[in-house]
Amino acid sequence: MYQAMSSLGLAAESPYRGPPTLSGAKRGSTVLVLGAGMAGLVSAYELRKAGYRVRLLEYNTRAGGRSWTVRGGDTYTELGGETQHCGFAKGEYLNPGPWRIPFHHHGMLAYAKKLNVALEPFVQVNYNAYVHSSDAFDGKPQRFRHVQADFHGHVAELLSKATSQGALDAALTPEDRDRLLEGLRQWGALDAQMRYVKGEASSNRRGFAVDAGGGLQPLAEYSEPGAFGPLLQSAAWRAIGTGHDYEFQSAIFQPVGGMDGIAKALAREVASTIRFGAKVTAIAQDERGVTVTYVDTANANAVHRETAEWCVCTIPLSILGQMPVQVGDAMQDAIAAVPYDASIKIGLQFKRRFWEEDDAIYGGITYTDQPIDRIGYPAHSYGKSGKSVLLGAYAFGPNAYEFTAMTPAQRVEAALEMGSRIHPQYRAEFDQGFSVGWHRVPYTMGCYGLWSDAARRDHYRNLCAIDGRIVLAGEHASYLPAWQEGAVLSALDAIERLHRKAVA
Amino acid sequence: MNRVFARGMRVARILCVVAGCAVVWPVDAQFDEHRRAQAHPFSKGQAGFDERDGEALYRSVCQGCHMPDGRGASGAGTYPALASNPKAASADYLALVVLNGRRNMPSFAPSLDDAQVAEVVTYVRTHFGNAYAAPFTAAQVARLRTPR
Repeated sequence: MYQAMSSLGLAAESPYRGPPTLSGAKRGSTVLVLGAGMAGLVSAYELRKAGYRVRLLEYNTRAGGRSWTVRGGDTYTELGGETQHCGFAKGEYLNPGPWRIPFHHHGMLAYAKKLNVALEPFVQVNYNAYVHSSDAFDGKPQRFRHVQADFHGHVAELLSKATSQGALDAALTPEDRDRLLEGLRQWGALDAQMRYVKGEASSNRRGFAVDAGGGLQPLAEYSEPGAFGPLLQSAAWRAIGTGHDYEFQSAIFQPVGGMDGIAKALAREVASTIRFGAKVTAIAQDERGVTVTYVDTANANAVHRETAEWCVCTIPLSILGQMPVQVGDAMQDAIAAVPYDASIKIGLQFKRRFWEEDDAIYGGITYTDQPIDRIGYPAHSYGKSGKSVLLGAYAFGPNAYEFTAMTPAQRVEAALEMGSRIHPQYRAEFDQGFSVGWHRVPYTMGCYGLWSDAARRDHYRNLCAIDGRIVLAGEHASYLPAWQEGAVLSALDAIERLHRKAVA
Repeated sequence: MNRVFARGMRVARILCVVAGCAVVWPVDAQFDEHRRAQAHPFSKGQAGFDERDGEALYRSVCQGCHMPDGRGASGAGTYPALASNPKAASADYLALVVLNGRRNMPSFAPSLDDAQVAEVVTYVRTHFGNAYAAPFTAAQVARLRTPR
């Protein structure tokens, strides 16, 4: 088994160890799973396969939790009562929560593969998207490829000068100095004289003023690199690093048709176990089993009780902390120790894909210093005519609180105002918008568990430890907060430990 | 620290610091009084909130959860009402919750200064059916701050 995994390259680096080993479950043993997000669905799916009798209670009338895709025809009422009716065109969507799956999120990828959920590339870095600084370059957005090529080029030229002038003689042997210079020439697209200047080398990176053509069309013309000073002052270069981060490196994926594809596939597998519209109000346990009290969301007077020998609770701590849960002080304190962060996403549907048709931007992300933070272009259905949805805002921090405090109409108006400084087509092409401020989401009341280092130190192990017959799982019980992979790994770890206890 | 989100925040923060982040929304000449009435200003950068007076802070931050009328909201869980809340009798209590957070509510100690906390606590204590007139000051907030 280990050998097989090593050959797949998993054992060396990933905590994902393949399907859980849950052999020898007692026949007819019962487990109650609370919450049908990724953690609850994975728990129910694996426990049932292992022979447990599983029952799954879910507050919403759909599965997936934060693994959620909004499409035309959907209706969503946020806390406070504002209702949005989504009128997105067929095939268009907004993922209000997670929207990408890195290549090293082996658990998520394994479930997609096992359940035949088609994946396609998510475009994280698009060289032709924009970087926008409100006070730089007269407020005009700059192409990512220009920013990156010019930044690398100027840095390479400066470093080569310093190297040639002997500044690195103490650090490098003469041979390595020569190798560094050659490396800088290639990395920075410098010319034969180690200059980053208008010419073939720089234009091969940043693009041409006139592209090469055919027949008797005009000859190609090199483009003029931008000066280093204004680029440094613009801070636009800060945006070129994100795609280098391990979490965002290529290849990175999305399910075809929306992020909820994997959750929906799992939900189909365990459909007979799920009770939707069940609002859990109390969790009790004794030496024989667990009793969960819940009410129908459609009829709060209908109080129900469900019992089982074991319980996997994936309810977000923001909700769980508000109900009586019969666990020890250590877990109680842990549940109360994790606040939930703010985040906002706004989907904007336009009458046509002007970003493709006018700006040659196919997928990827434009970064801006405005409160919308970025614009994400759809990484699917390229070239399609007609209406299309882009991500018009994705913010954290103070701006996420400020967006959340607005009405949905105000959020969309603000996103249009800011986005139109990057894409002047916004106003004329706008069709409709849809926004989700995560503190207003009735079933999570926040985006994800915002662990501090101190809370991790004092409470994390207590949160994850089995208390009697109850174990918690979810992104909040992982070191991958807000990532679906955290929910998956947390669930697999939790049910393996619970199983060992159940068969002991 | 959550690295997913830290990335985006870091980019935005640094862009804002260096570029001066002159986001004053909305600025276009066409916007009318109706839109002005609806408009919320945005803070510049990720370090903290720029709103200074109590009402602006409540409208831009608190009402995201506690709602425009201060009555809170209920879904799978509940955001407590601040309206006619007997706990508002204690300014110290409200300030401590704002500074330290409480359960799912994040701490605002890093993102609001003492004067802002005093302003927003005073606003809550004098609105939504709460009528506690005694002034509450930045100095009173300062003594409640946990040393960092």
